[in-house]
Amino acid sequence: MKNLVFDVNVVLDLWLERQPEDRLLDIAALVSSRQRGDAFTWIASPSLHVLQSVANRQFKREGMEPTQAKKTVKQLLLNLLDNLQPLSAFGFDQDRTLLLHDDLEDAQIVKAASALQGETAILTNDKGYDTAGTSLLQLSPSEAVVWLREQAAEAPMAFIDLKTQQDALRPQLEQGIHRVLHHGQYILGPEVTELEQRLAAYTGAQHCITAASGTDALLISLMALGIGPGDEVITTPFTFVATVEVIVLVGATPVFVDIEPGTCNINAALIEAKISDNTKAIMPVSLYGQPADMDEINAIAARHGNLPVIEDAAQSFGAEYKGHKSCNLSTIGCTSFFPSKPLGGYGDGGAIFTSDDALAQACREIRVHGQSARYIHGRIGIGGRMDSLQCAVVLANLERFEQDIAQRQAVARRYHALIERKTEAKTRVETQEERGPDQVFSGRKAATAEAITLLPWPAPDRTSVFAQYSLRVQHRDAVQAKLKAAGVPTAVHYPMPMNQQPAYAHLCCPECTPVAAATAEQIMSLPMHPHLTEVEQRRIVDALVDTEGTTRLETDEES
Amino acid sequence: MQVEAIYRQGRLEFLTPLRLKQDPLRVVVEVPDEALDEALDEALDEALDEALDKGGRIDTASASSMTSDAEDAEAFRQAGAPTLSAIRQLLGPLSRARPVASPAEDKAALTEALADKYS
Repeated sequence: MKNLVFDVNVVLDLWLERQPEDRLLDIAALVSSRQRGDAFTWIASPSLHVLQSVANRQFKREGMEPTQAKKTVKQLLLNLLDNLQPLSAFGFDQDRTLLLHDDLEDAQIVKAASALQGETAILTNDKGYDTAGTSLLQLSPSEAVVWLREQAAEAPMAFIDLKTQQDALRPQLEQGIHRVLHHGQYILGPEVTELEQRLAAYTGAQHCITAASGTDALLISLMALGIGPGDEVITTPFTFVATVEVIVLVGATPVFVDIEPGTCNINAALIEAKISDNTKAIMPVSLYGQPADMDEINAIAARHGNLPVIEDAAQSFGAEYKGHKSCNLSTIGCTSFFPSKPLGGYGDGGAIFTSDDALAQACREIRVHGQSARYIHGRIGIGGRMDSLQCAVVLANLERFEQDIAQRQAVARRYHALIERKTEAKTRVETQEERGPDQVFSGRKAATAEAITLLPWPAPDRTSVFAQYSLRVQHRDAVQAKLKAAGVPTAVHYPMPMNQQPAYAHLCCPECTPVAAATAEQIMSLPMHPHLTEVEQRRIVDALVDTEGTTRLETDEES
Repeated sequence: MQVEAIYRQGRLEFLTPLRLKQDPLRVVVEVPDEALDEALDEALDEALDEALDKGGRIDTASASSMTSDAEDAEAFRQAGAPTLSAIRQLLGPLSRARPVASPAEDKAALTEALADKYS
């Protein structure tokens, strides 16, 4: 989303009604455009005292009693700050170069505006700002109205857009980070406690224990359950390596169960056959943001001596399963705050959720080197704490989390509709072409319909937070290369199941999990973030469907 | 939080009464796919094509609201009416048209205001 930084002159035009009615309405619409989701709107903090002084003087000159003038200006400023976010002028920016400018206030505004990540314009009537060396635009209100309706300048498309997220939450992020710098409790500070309390309440779990990463959250959980050498943990081979890595790290053996083709989650129907006397836990992964079949998995675990179930919810925090939040669906749930996650930080972080008091206590102790009291180490632990700064960042991001989830789901729904529609249209054309002049169908299936397969929409009893939007494509390498040439980034989650990875291949034959093996050859993820626009999605889908159809035809001709 | 609402004649009505800090308030609504009118969906699709050709921005809130540039500009302008009205209410008797002032005049006014303050 674009950023608009308001110049004093424009705000004064509105307050003092110094423009014709239609222009006043335009400025008022620009002022309120953040509420409508049209732009992030800002007032640089050095501008606030200028507004106060000039408006105050104007009202007093018009005969208003000084106290009343001050009160009116205060109300106007409060109204302004309900609409525009204050933009920081950092102390470290007030350097020699800045101070040498003829107009310090203007220079401060340019410097503050330059800190914003997205496309940014200063809304001004005189365009006298020295913006040399920046990408800032200077626009009059009437130009800004047009500019906001234009598509963002052609820029490399982001696979995950953390810059817009940062602009959206800049004041909260700055405040949170500053708060930590101020109190100085960098380890297990008040932000850690606040985050744990808020996340526990969000999921409904009794306890939340933050950890240094999602990987550490899984490792601590296994350690708290006492899983070690000789034990087996049932899991999926189609996951990020951390899931399996931690099992091996505690000395246990991962036992791989194949996945469902639709959700790419562990196939619950195949779990029971892999349970042995050594099985000590089941660790399903809620892949791409959608919970696994947790009821079925919990039921199997219950039938086999109440085996603990650890949901690896690194991608699914915020998703729901039968009315309950992911991370609160089994004995333990673990998530990650890696920056690309639906709820992320700006570094590593993770959390463990459980409603078992003893397990929670064990996790808390293991997180701090097994320490039960200062310098008393009753168990083996790790240095696995999430720091206060990262908790502050996640707390800021938590403010927009529900909105982000809704937008991710809307983006996914649009992908589904656009790809289906575009594929159908292309298939109709291909089928007509195949029939040829004598109207005899050649029998070859339309290339596009065969080449792209959507993963089914989540079942009605669960939601996905769409950490990824993944689909199956044939000829993936060629498709990725062509999409890259078209400016569309893609990723593969994941190109190789764990039981084919060199470090883990000895644990299970690849043929034992054929669905995982086949999925790894075709799965591909498209750009996914809450700020993806319809126009961007249209461009992605056009490139995907055209590219995949062309690739298929080229491959057929070569063979 | 999630609340249940009924959409009727272009308006959303919350089934649970809520007191909101902000009015108007932007919300995200989940519309069941089966409730969508296909004709509108096609209109949206055409609008998407058109906007893509023009490199333009699209408002997907309602396909039927895809209008000409002039109508869009007028709609945008009218969205400012509540804000302008709120400011005029705060101004009270001070709400009146004043002559245009340049940025240079505003800077001069600031200088005078600071002189008043520190003299």
